[in-house]
Amino acid sequence: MLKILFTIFAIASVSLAQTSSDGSFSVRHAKRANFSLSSAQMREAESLYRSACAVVRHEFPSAGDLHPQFTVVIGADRNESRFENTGISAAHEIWLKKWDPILFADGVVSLAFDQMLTPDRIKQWGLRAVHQSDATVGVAELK
Amino acid sequence: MLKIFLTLLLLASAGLAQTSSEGSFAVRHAKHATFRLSSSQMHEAESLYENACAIVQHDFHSADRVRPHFTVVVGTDRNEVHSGGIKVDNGLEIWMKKWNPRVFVKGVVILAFQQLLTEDMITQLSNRAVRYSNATVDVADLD
Repeated sequence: MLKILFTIFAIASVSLAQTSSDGSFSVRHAKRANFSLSSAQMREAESLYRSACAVVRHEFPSAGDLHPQFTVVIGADRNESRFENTGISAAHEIWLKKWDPILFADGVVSLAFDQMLTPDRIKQWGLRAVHQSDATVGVAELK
Repeated sequence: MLKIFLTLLLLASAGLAQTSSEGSFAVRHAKHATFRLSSSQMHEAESLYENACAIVQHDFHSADRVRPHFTVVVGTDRNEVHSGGIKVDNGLEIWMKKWNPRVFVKGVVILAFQQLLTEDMITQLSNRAVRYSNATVDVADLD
């Protein structure tokens, strides 16, 4: 019974994680389930998110629309923007020891940039590299 | 004594890991220390590496030469790219169950792409994002 209650509580606390107004990112604390950013901090985060995406899009016009989705984990043991891009799936998180707008912006820039590398783009570039490689071998064989 | 011998053997095998002619990537097997790609496989890998880097560099109009350094680990239980975090240049690895040029080239594309975003560029872009964000707040404050 206690286990069921605990599970329900855990699910409820996850579903109640603080989320940005457009749902692009959520915020949670590494240790404290009831943690949330203040409304001023959340507004700052949302504004930084929009600016960082716009800056990356401006820098790389071929990027298209950038809306990285990620979780901000406050209370982490180090500051880090993490992504595990396996070519199949990707998990995105910004880890912060404590709320820091500059490091948050760093993280959004990193993740927005990473979003440009879609599975389609990886496949296209990979195929081009293979074709060019084949062509090189073909030319070498002609000699 | 056996421990020392084993350590020396490990160090020697690590030092003798097969490396590409330019030293950009090394190849090792997850289980067999004596594993090596055949010379034609290594030649293929080097050609794919050059092409993939050139394509990524060209498509992103990067003035900097893109040359990711990584290890290819053959004989793993899954095909995967371990890219670490963008600001954490550690453990760049391409894992593959067995030698597979397609998996290799996808891995090179991912790692080359991630090399485009240097720490300096992250800082530059995020500083701009912070400035834009502050400017937006100022304008809103006028309402």
